[in-house]
Amino acid sequence: MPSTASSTRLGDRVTQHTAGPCTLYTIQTAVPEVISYRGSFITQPNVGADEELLQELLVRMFDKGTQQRDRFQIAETLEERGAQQNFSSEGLRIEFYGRMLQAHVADVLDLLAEEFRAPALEASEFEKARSQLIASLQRSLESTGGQASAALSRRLYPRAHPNYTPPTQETIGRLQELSVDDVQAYYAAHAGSNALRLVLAGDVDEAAAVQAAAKAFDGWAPHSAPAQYASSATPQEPGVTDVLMPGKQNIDVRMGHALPLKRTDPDYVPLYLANFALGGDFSARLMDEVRDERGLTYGIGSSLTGLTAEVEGHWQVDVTLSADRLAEGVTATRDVIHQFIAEGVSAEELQAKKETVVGSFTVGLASSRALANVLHLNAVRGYDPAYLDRFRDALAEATLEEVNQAIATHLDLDALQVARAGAVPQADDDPTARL
Amino acid sequence: MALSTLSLADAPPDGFSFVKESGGIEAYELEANGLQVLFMPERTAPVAAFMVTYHVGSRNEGPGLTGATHMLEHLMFKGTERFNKRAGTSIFNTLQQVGARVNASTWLDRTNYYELLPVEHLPLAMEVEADRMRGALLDPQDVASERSVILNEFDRGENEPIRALYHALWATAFLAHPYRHPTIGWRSDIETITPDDLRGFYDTFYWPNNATVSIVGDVDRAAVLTAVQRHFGSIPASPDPIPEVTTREPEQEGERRLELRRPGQAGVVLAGYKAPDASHQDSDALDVLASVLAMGNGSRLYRALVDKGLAAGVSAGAPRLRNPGLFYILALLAPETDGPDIEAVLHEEIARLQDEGITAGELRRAVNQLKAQEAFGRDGPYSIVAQLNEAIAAGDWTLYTEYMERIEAVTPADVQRVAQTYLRRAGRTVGHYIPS
Repeated sequence: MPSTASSTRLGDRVTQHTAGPCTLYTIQTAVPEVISYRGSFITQPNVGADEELLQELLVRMFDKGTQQRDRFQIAETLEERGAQQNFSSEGLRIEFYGRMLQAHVADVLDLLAEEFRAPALEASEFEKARSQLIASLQRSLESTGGQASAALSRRLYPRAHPNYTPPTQETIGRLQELSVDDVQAYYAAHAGSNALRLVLAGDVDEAAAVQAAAKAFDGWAPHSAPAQYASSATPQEPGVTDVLMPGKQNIDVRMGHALPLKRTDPDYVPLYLANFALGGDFSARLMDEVRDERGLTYGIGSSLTGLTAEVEGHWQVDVTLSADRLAEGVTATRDVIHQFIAEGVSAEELQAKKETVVGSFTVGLASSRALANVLHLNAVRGYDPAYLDRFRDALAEATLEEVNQAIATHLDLDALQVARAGAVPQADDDPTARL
Repeated sequence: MALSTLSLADAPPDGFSFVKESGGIEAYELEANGLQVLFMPERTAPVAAFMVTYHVGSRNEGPGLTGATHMLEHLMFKGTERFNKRAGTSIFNTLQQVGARVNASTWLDRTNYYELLPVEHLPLAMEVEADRMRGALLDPQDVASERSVILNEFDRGENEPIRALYHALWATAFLAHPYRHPTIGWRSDIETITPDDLRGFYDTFYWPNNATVSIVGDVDRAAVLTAVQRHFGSIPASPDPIPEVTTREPEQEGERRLELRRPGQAGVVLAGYKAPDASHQDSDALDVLASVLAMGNGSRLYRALVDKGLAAGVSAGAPRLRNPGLFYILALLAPETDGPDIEAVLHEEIARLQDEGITAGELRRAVNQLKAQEAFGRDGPYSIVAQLNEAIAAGDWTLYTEYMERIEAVTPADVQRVAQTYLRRAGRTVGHYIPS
């Protein structure tokens, strides 16, 4: 049924360029006119010393004025072209992403570079950015999922680890003490072209893109801020944290334990497959038993979370449970995990999961936006584009013994920390409180 | 439209009637049973999107049966005699094993089931969807198990104040039309719908003549249509006509207001104005109006609310629906601001636009943004079928393909006129989420 065959490996379709201080990756797709982009640069905030908050404020101020354009001129530049521009603070780096039409590549990159290199950082915009960030944090206090994940992070990590999320009210309090001078000082010390990477995916004119990126970022100097973060977890004794949220009848439960692994560890591939078999999709064991068979939850899954090239992360199981099913749901979840760790995966199950993961690789890259995201993440991890093909090959080649050894080595039911957020029953006889 | 856009060599296989072509999408009808087929070749990647849209949504539900469409959508994944978990051939497992992204969704006007998968496995998706079109098991045990899953989904939704306010707004704005019911249903109905109710719903609405199949991907027309005929051709058309929704919402003759008070932190203002159906020409001008009001940092409400520190965010829009719906404006309050103050600014800005109209520059920026979004929306097969799905549900799939032509025809006078016509006090409903 296919009309064309595409056996080209992904790495062969990507071209890497040097454009001034920027490492630029381009990949062509057939979608007319559209280009998706994603990029980043390393900032090295002093994690745990309020600098991640300063970075969050900074990214909210990039599009609020530069030395050349005020905030409305920036808005007009984007709106006239229908271009999208987003900024986010992602731990040790600042990321930027969006979509644009091919004709506007030079204009959009010029604007991005101007925002990074010469932001106005005015006091009035600082006040608005802080107010909006506080509103966003207040709204996050109503998210059972977000609060449970944050509580779990506090059981696992030291404050200086990028995966640690402070209590929301504490963050709001710290925000009140910051000033625009702090943001300006942070910008001066941490914004620069360090590890500046940009991916353009779609209807890309390579020569024009390289020229535009080189012109936009040429001469942007790197900063000299040192790395200041903890890279390993320091978990508490296994236990339970409850975040009580009156009226929230759906309770989000997070279970997890630290993994002394970075993304670059050889065990990552077999552990990735193992975790996928447990909680990676609708057919995985957790969904199959706790939702499909027993009807206890709408959503359940597991993931390897927060592992990067720089820091170690953790293994996490997420489940949402109505209050009257909380104990039953947690017990069922633990039973599935127990059986999974005790027995490992079967050869047939592993083969099926490999086919799923390898097949979904093709499906997951079927848009320019997905390509830009995946290629950028791959570059941030320090890999060349061909690594994505090698990763797929490694998944296909992982043996049953390697996968089951990874389960035995890295997953431990008794080490699980638990965080629950919502209208959690606080009765003495609540069995889940003794986990 | 005649066959003129297709050459003789491109003629569809026997058994299909060519209906029309628009924007690169070809429409056919399977003559044996009335199944509508939309086909668009798209060569971005060696994948294909396959989607079945049933023309049944929560607008087709009566009292006591709210949530039935959504519950049925869940039950459809429990399978058929051929594809089911007990036989080791569950629908999810069968499709996900070949790398497919599989899911379904239910909304006011439609239910859709879709697969995005490596193109060589497209026939498998057709096989599964054809099999469950008339062969769903709807086992009472599965209904019991899935009911509690849905009740947890309901509780998750109720956790979110904006979602609860949205449901309350529609329930207040609509007195007669079933758009007043949330798609997930009211809790008491979810708790009491019976397997027989679901069977009745299924036997009323799940027929090929009440469905549209969409195929977008790296595939050839002849092969695709032949495969559609092979899998769907033997399914009979419904023995009875598909029931129509005949309820019309009476005209609203005065402002309606509501409050949602619950524990929380940050307030929300949500205003809804009675708006025309998707095919109405004024819907295009309302899209431009929404863009002028709230798309981008240069938009009017952004400047009046967010830029002044009164709101943390603002958005506006009018979902394209089969029957008249709502044009909405949502404002997320900044700390230390009050809902009534924000609401007053909303009304002032709307009144200013009604009195003074918009500038040529505002129109140009709005149209440019909508044009770019339309181009972005063609980024990959799934993105295309997702948008096509809403146009199909609204009753005319060419709403998708002809969208930009329609938007480019909008004038500043049109925008001012629709603001005056629809954003009236008598037709508005205003909701406040007040954290306590």
